[in-house]
Parts: sequence; C-alpha cells; structure tokens
Amino acid sequence: MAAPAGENPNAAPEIGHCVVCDLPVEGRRHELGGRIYCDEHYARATLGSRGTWPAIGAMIAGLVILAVVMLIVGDRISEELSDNWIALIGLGVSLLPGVLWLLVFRHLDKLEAEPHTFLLSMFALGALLAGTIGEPLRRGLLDLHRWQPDSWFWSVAVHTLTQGVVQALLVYIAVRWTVYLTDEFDERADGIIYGTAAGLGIATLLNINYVLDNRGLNLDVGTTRIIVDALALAALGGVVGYGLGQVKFERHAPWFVALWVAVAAVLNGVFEWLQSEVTAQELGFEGWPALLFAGAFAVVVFGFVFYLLRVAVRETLSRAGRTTATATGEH
Amino acid sequence: MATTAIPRRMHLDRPRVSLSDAIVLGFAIIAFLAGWLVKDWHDNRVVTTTVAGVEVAYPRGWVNFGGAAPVVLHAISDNDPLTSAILSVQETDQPDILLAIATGAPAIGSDQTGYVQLANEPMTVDGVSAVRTDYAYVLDGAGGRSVPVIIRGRQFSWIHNGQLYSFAVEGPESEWTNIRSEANRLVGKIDIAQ
Repeated sequence: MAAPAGENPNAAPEIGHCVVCDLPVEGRRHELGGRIYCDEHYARATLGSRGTWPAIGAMIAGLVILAVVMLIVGDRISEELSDNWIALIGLGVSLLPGVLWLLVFRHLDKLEAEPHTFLLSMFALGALLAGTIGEPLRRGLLDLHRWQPDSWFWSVAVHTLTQGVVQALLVYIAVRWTVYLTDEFDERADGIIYGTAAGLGIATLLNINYVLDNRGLNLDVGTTRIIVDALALAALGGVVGYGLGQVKFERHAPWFVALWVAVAAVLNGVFEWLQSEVTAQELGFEGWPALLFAGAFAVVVFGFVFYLLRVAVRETLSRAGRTTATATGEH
Repeated sequence: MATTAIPRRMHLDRPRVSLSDAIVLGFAIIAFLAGWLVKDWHDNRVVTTTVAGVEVAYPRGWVNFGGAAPVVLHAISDNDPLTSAILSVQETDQPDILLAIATGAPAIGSDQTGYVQLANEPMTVDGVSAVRTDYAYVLDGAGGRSVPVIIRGRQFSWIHNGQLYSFAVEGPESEWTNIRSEANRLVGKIDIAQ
C-alpha cells in the first residue's frame, strides 16, 4: 500500500510547526494543503473540512425542498405539458441531485476544497458504471425493476445480494481506482464526499432510465421518485466511501472495506423493502411518505457515518495523547 | 507540441489490486451469484395439484379458480390478471393426438375472437405422445373500456384413457418470451398417472 496521502514520506527531517497550535512537529508529520499539522489537529482536520457536513445537510435539505415543491405544483404543471416536455423536465430533474451536490460543495467546502473536476468525474463515472455494469445486471439479467417478491424476507435478501452488492461495488470501483490513488484523497471524509458523488451518479442513470420508461409521468410523483433514489444512493455511496476513507488513513484488517460494502448492500436491500412498504398504495406510489422516509433514511445513514468518523478521530486523538504522554514521561 | 504538467495533487499512483480489493471483489461476485440463485429459486417455486388424474403445477402465488367444464384448472397470475395456466379435459373417441388435432379437436381459447394456431409440433408429455400448439387471439374486453389485447399462449395436448387433455399457459403478447418459457417449465412438471 502506498504511503497514506497527507503524509510526506520524502519530507526532510527538519522541525515544522503545526499550523493550528504552532507547536513544533517532530518525527511523523502530517500535511494538508501544504500546511503542517500535529497529530491532534491532523485528526481533527480529517473529520472533514468545515464544509463537508453542512454540504451534506444542504444537499439533503435542497432535495427534500425540491420534492416538496414538485409534490405541490407538479401535478398542475404535468397537465399543461406534452409527454415530450415532461420527459425533458424529468431528465433535467434526474441531473439535479448531482448538480446540487457539486454546487453546494463548491460554495461550502473552502478549507480544503476538493477539485470540482474530480467530483464531476466521480459523478460521471458512477453513472457510466451503472449504465455499463449495474443496470444490465439489475434490469437485463434479473428483471429486478419489475420483480415482485412474496414477502419482506425475499425482498431484503434478493435486493441486498444483487442490487445492493452491485451498486456498492460500483461506488467502490469508482472511488478506489481513481481519486483514492491521488494526493487529493487526503482526509478521511474524502471517501464520503467522493462516495456520495459516485452514488449520485448511479442514481442519475437509474432515474434517466425511469424517466425514459415512463414518458408521461406526473411530475409530482415522478420527481419524488427521482429524489428518493438520489437520497438513498447518495447515503449508501457515503457508507462505502467511509470504509475507503478509513483504510487509507488507518491500519485495518483486509476485510474491513468489504464489511462496509456489505453494510451498504444490506442497507440498500432494507431500504428497497421499507420503501415499497411505506409507499405502496393500491395502484402505485405514494409521494409524501416516500419522501419523508427517504429524507429520514439519508439523515440517519449520514448521521451514523458522521458518528463513526467522530469515534475514529477520537481514537486517533487518544492514541496521539498516549504517544505524547509516553514521550514526555507522564503517567 | 506544448504539454501541460499534471498538478502533483492530481497525479495518480499506479493502480494495483491489494488483498483488500480482492476480498471486496470476491465477496461481491459470490454474493451476486448467491442472490441470483435465491431469486431464481424464489421465482421458480410451484404449487402442484392433482386434477382429473393428472398432477400439474403452476407458479406459487398464482390463484387457482378451478373453472367450468371442460376447464378443470385455471390459475391466474398474482402479477397480471391476463396471464394464466389452464387445464381442460374432455372425452374423445380419437386414440391418436395428431389425428385429433388435425380433425379440429377443441382447443383452449378457440372460442375467442380472432383465434389462430401459429404452430403445431409433435412432442411428448411425461412420455405420452402430445402436440405443442402456439396460438393467439384477441381479448376485446367487450362491454368494458379497455383497449383490445392480443393474447398468446402455448398449449400441450395429449390423449390418455379416452380423455383429451390440454394444458396451456397464456398471457399478453408483450410477455410472450416469459410465457413461453413458463409453459415449457410447467409442462416438464406434469405427471400423468400411468
């Protein structure tokens, strides 16, 4: 494994000073954006740039607000427009979650800003992988988009093992063999940022397929479906990204990332079943419950990831504290 | 030609597959194959029932409404009310199924609008000589407001103990590929009491 990004293996042994506390940093140095950090402030910084979590919050809020607006006015708009116009608007709405993520990030992530070309590439790569691998397997081979399981158990089991695993793997591939290998991947939270972008790319491709399958869809329910998918896949991309961020900056067992791919897959399967339970109505899809459920799902999953990240940082801090105490002879 | 240097931070390390990657890929492949098998098993479960001396099967979840003579089994799909499996039984003097078909033995759907036989092919069902017939008709939804639907079906007919048995799976033309494979699967499960 290459030396973790953020550390400079070729750095000269001279003493630097932490950009935050200004104390001398000897031995192992950490750098972010060319600035030196001590162990403690490096751990704090890698919780995520100041903009990461507000950006995630803003994205969820923005998508939910958009869906609410469309639930209120979408039906009236649909009546005025032809099917072609509705399909065109639907395609535009499919792209919106990804665009919103990029725009919000551009605005909020200023401390250690990620290159937007990377975020855009991750988004596009997620969509491309979904189009070339994910959807041919999900729709072409397994016919999952029309499948009706007998019970909750079959729904969770099959969606987890097929759709869930494939989509989590696509996020993994998109991040692992591109941005993960660059020095830009220099914070634990970067995995979440890029995983979310890849998840949104997958959601975009799924939603484009959905719009093209349903040319005359109602914009209220159609937009809600699009946003529900985006919220879920963004959150699940964040889970896989969390695993990648951890292994890049911490030593873990070889199966550690596979565990997070599995967690994302199980959440995908559970979401698919719960969504169908919450939204099922006699002849189709209920918009409001779907939206509330997907919004809550995204908040809970990202909240869980945020909590795990804090725990990891706390452990790093306590290790750094123990190291300092040992070095200074404190007991 | 001028070249542009790639900024250091955008430089890609040489990609390689670590043990961790191999575990993820291996896990994903095994899980996907397992999921495929589970789904296949779920979708192929059947209910078997014995009617008129013959054991027939229809997909689990389909509802058997029985039927009026000569229909003894009419199982309708839980996903699509136009897709169903039908078994009819009627007495016949004809000992040979090929001759029976050639002389116009009654067939499933033959009383429907625009009924047409598209292909006939000799075969066997549980070791008994049979004829496979692909057919189509128009379900015009008389009295309703629905657009007429083309129904396609695959029927298997055989004669046993002086009875003409016809087993068919039919459904909307748009689902023909699935209907055909379902018919082929279900006919393989027919057990004719010898």
